[in-house]
Amino acid sequence: MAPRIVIFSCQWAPHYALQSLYRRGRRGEGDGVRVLTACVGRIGEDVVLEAFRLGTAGVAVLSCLPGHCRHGLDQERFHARVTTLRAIIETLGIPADRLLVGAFHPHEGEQLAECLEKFVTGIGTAAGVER
Amino acid sequence: LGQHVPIELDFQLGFGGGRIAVDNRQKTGHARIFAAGDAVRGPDSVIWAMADGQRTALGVHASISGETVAPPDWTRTDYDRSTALRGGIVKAARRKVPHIPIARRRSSFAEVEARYREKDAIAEASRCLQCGICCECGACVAACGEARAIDHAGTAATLTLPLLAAGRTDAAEPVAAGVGHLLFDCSAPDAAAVLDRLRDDAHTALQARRRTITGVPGVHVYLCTCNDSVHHRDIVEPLAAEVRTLPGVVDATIINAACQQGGGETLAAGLIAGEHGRILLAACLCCPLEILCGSCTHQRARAKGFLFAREGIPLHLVETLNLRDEVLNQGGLDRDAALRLARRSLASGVARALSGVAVATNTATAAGDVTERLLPGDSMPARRDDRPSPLPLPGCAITPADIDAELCRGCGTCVRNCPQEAIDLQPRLSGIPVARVAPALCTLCGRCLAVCPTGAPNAPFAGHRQIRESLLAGFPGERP
Repeated sequence: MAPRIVIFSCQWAPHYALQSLYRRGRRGEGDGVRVLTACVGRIGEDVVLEAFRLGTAGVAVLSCLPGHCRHGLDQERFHARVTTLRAIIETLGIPADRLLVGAFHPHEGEQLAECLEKFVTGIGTAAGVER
Repeated sequence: LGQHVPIELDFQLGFGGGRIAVDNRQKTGHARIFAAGDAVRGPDSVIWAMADGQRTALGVHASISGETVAPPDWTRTDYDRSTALRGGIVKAARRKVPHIPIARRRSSFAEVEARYREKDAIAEASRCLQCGICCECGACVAACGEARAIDHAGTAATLTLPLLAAGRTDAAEPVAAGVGHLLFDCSAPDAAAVLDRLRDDAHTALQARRRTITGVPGVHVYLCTCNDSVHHRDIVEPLAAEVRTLPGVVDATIINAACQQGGGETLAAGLIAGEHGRILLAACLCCPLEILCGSCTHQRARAKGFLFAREGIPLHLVETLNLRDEVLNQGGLDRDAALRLARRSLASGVARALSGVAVATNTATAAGDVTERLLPGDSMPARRDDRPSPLPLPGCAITPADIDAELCRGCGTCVRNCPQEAIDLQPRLSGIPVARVAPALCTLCGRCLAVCPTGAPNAPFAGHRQIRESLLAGFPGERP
């Protein structure tokens, strides 16, 4: 059975936020797969589509907030791809709200958990969330 | 503030010519109000704004204390400006910008000023004396302060740069292990190979300098104020007081600059003396790795160099927190919000330091590169793997990005975006060029990976291949 969701997370702010959740024993992503990358700017459309091809129900891409990217404008480069990406997955018959794009500060573990829980729940009820 | 002059406000400032009138100490008509900048002299350069600022400071000081302080004399007497203009300087008149004929102007909206022709543009650019590089004012010497990094004497010198190298490939005789002094020509044809060898040697020497720390469990927190230049400087003392009360924190110390040699010595002293087992450096450093990525500034590189290379502190004993950029320099936050945010960031940093879970260390561990694998709950993890780490010295990159020639379509996007200018395009038989990375220049920042439309570049623990493999690892049965 394919994992319910795949989380692509940059290794900076959202990773800190996820770590703070783990330390408290809380996991917000259900039975998801987490892929850590140096920056979400390196997440191409191909790997997101690959995740859907592998059968995951939803893909979350978590980045730092605009202006906080350690790699200059790389994070914004991914966000520039989101519109195209959503159009592609809709063309493939996958609801666009199966893709969550979120940006978090390192201390926003609770908000991140809440967002992921809504996302997972939303997949179940065909109602996505966006942050 | 700004160029707009508040004539409608009657503060008895005194106006003249639509601007605020001031005396030679920038004092306005009001005894306690001083003015400077564009509101006084009209739109002008930042040089004059700084000069106004200096006069204003002296005027305010005199007004408050009654003491008249003479302005510092920046005039250089030991430097003959005329020598800089001797030799090879040909006097040339400014090239006239061509204009379209008046007859054409009457019947069109075309730009009156046409462009220079190529040869005129080159000739005009050649008139530049590059005088803007340094105006010899000497202000940078004073601004640099205790670091004394600027030698303004301007005398030519040949420097022998110390490297942490134990040998060189082309040396007639092996250099004794330890700190060597080598001159290295980066433009040599075999520069990359020699650099690789030097880095290997440097790594060996660096490992030899690594200290064995046997400190007691506990974290010492250092809060760096970036030479007192941070926006929320006033919250640092209360933060330090609060941090001292956190469980596991031995002490909290405010330091002026972690990127100065003295800062590095301060950070290392407690660890070396065994007073504590780890430190949390809340400065501008994002990670405690010995690599420089696209976000590394000169200050961050210096801080890493002093702490890890000069003082020999093991990486896994240092947790870092970029408090400067995340909180202290966030001018948009009010004081209370900054304090709240800083508390949470520091609490998170202390927890990471205590548990030994560091983002960057984890990343490197995933690549099998780090000598210490840290487990949550380990207050003092043991060294478990003695394999030499391929992580490079500050300022170097040992494993550069590489380009998959099959995927590269020669668009040049990576060339234009590489901050190190490490990528160029090489011709191919097909006529479509292929990108090539110069290993000696690549700092592994990964910018090329982010911008490439075809996913051709790859880099250790940061590339598309690694991302895809990590994804497939979560799907049992799938193979790359």
